[in-house]
Amino acid sequence: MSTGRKDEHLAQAIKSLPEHTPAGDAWEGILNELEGETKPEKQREIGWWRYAAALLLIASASLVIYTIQSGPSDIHFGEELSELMGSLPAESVADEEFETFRDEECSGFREVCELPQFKTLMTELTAVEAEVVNIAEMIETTGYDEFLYKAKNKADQETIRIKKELVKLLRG
Amino acid sequence: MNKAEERRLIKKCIRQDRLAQRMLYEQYKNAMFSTAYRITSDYDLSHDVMQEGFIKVFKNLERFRGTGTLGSWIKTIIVRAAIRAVQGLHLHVEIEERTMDAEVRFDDNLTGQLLDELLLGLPDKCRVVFQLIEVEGYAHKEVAELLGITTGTSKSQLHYAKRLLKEKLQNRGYEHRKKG
Repeated sequence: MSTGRKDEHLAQAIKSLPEHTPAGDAWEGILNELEGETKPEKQREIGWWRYAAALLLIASASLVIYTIQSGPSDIHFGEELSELMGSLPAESVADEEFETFRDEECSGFREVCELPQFKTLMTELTAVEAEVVNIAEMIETTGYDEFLYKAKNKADQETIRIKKELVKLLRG
Repeated sequence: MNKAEERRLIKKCIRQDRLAQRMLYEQYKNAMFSTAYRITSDYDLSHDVMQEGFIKVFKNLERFRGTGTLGSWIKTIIVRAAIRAVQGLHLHVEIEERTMDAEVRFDDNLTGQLLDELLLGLPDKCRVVFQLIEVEGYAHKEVAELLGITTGTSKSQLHYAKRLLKEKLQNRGYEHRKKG
């Protein structure tokens, strides 16, 4: 651990942070579990699936990185994406178009839409889109900040990457 | 409590002496709950963290070698439990690795009470990083390992946290003193 603080006022405020107290009966819960009255079986089960989901995510991310890196370098990212999107109504990957495409593809029962990989990507997409909104709000709140703009740009790129991966899955 | 007393208490806890375990819990509960609460920003979730964390402490106490302080050892367990509790945070947003926090400075209007209040209102990602770096004293590298992010992301999240804290302070009328 390191303590290389530069701001004295901040350091002082941190030193005087108030303590929070847990509820009076918090010990009872710990005691009950120690006595074996409650067992966190469900947590263990979820933990196993988390590992599996993480592995799947890493594998799919590696595949995408490999695909991108092994592709022709003179193709612009947007062109590559629109090529992949193929039958999409327009060349861009505007949110509305992507959502329409996804909804159409998943409207009937399609196995791919039920795949854990697809669901994981959709969850990731929701989170990244929320992050884009979050950073945009930060920019709105704090005004111009080059770091925030760069971060938003990164998140935007991440959104495109995930959408691209989803489209690839949908198109088999 | 001196070292010898602490060692005796630890031995009793290992022997599953409930009274000793209660004593140990009482000694550290506020510090650990404060850490958990500032990481999760959720009162109920912090109790879950405390429960999970202290169960782990009592089950693994014999592994405590005494190289660091008992408080630091327990805190590491609580921090990890709190991070697990707020999992789902997507901390992948990364920007250039530069020293950014020097740009945001606070003045003496920032009290502990006010900082506590403002911290709990920060977005999850930057609040966790701020808590770990500035309050708990972890290095960016350690935070990166704990959260599974890069040091660049850790630095950028710390920067966001400070920017937002500053903004929140200004919005409350605590204007930063202008130079000159």
